[in-house]
Amino acid sequence: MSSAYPTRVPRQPLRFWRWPRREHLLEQVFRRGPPPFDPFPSIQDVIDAVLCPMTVVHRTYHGLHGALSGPGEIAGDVGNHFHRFVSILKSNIALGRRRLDEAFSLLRMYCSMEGLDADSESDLRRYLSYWLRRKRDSLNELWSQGSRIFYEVHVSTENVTFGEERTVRYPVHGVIDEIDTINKRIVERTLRGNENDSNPPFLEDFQVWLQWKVLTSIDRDLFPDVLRNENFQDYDLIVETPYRDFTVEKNRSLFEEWAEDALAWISDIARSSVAIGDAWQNRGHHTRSCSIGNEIEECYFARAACYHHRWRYPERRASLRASLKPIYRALYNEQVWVHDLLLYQLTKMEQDPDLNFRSELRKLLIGRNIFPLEIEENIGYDRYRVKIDETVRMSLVEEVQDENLNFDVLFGSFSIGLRRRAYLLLDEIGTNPEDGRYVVYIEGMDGTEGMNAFLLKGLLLKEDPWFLKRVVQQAVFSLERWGVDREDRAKNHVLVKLVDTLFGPGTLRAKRG
Amino acid sequence: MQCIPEDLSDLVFEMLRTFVRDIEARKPPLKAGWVPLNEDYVKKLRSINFCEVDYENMNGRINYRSCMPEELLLTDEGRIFSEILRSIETVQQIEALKNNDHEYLEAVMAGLDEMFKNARLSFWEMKEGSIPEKLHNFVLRPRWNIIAEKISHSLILNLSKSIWSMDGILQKYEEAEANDKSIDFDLLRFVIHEIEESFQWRKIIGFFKSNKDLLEALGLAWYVNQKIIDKGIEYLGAKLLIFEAAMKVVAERNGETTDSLRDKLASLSENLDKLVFEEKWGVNWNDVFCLPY
Repeated sequence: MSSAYPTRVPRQPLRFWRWPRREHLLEQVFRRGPPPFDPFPSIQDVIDAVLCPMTVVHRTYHGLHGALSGPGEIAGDVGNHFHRFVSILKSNIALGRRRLDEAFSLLRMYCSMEGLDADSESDLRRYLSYWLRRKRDSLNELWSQGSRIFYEVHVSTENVTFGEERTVRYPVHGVIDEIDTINKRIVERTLRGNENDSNPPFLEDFQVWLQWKVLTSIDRDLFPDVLRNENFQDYDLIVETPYRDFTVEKNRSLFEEWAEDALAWISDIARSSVAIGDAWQNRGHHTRSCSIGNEIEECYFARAACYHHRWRYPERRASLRASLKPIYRALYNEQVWVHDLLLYQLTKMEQDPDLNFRSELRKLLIGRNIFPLEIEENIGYDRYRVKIDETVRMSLVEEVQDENLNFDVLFGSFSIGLRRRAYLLLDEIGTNPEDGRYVVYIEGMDGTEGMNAFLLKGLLLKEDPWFLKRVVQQAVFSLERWGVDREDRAKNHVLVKLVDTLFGPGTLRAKRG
Repeated sequence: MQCIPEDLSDLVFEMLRTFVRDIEARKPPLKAGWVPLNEDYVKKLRSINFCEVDYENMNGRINYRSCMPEELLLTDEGRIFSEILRSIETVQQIEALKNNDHEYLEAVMAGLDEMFKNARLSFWEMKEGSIPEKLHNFVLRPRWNIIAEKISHSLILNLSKSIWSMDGILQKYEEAEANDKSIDFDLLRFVIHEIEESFQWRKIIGFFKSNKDLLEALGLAWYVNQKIIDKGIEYLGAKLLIFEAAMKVVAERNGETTDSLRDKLASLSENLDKLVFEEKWGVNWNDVFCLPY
């Protein structure tokens, strides 16, 4: 008789996080092999690991992330567009530029500018209708209040701890959807969930709680002036769906345990592939096991990666898969050496207790990875004239050369700042790289007045394409899962024949080298 | 699906899934895969010949010793089920190694040979120019991958001789090395000499001399990995059953628990790093001594 299958066993909490050593951070060590430090996890990584430890394996080896955000009922990027549109609408109302009854005409303009298709626009209208039904009063109260709601707030910490008696510090970074200083709320906005739900969508409550934990672990000195005097300990945590707002309790010992458990998985799997076996044995959430035929419905990875369709051809897939393993690992190592190490450097540059060390890191990074700038003038249509810091203007000239470039721009600090995308318009009158002056297109700048600003290289810039490694991992994983079932097709399919020849037994097998 | 009456289809798939789930929950095959039946199902199951029924407890399951229709084996559940069966068979073969010293060491050697063949043998240096120039030039040759395989061969012989006295087993590896005349041997010997005589290689040998269990675990893991490939096993749960059996055999032979062996394997990369941390140049030993998964 089949028994019920056990849910995952709590992971042994870490005794310490494997931080990069000083010589790694100052780049005095040859980067080789598996990094001797743990990755710098994002809030999304932690949520995935809470959902199931196998997500960490797929993140590490196959470049997959966002297990809860896969293609489901909500088509494409509608969730992101909904959040962006709500932030634009609220900003416009708060600044007295648009009235609430203009919401749908503003949406039409937004969809047109973003080039969204009719289906996406129709979805957005539907969600917006639900949302507006309950938000009319609060939006009317928002009229002309000024920029006191902050969207897409980037946070990064090296000091978050979980559990009262635990002293292990962890690094975590991520983005908070909304910090509302008027109503004293931190908001996680989502399209997941249904009209009649009495609980927030699966793990959204954990997400907003974790964002709050990260936010409250950051030293107040690093906050921009406009946020420095806020008491975030007293803020309400809200999960907002189009149909309902859910208030999340902050004192959640279970969440503390989940977070610590998730970070232990992230560290253990990064450290050694030995932990993959444990992850498989413990697959599923703490309260919901996952097995063949009983997958966690919300997990996109379950069907796409763990229990994907087994094609009949190519027949030498097991051999192909074995040959791909070192590639996955090497690509992962590169991501950690390039991207995660930079996240450590940027965070430690602001948060390390040793002031001299901070200064050394700043010297290393300014002019290479970060470029301080000053907003000189708003010239309309989201375009600004900016001046790059005198000391680094030539470094930026070298980076930019003759091309337009996308950057991340942060207002505030790396530890807590408003993250926006900036696009350097090199052909505009007013751009003079030699003088350090550029015309830049930046969306959603409201509320950033008086904040420090800097361009960030290495997160999005093409010169340092760590994210492409992830794309390659995903592509290799797709190849691993690819195949055909029909014998007649397989017989004439070039790729099937190629794989079976290259990875087949005997004389046809290709030799290395 | 023509091979199964339509009204039994869901039940048969559930039986396949239950078998897989039970085996993954470490139930013995004899107790795995049973699902509760009602009288109606019991009657209907008589029409197919690859299920068995426990009339006393009113349970039924796929009879994993019988032949299943090919059509069923081509479904996702069918494929995973048959991979699980192949893994159970492999586990039994691996468990048989526990009490046979000669076959065990032969398997370990075959696995280590495979591990070294797959090694990247990439080099690092603290500062530019630390690697001896002749070696540096050699590494940059276009046929480096082929040469690396020969070097690997020599290193594995060197390592094995230092740790085990098993002349009979090593003989075939030595002969294979001696018969290979395809490359410039003087240069090859120089490279091998540079690595083998380097202080770090001696440290590596010293490390594995006092951690023979780790070397055996790596060897056996690569050995079973080859079996997994040959048997076309892809489902992670099925592969892990085999790796787990291999670790268990190594742990039992070395008088330790599987957990402690796994802990040591988990910190292997860090420990290898510590050994060579102060060297000026070296091989990335983490890419050599690693698990195949």
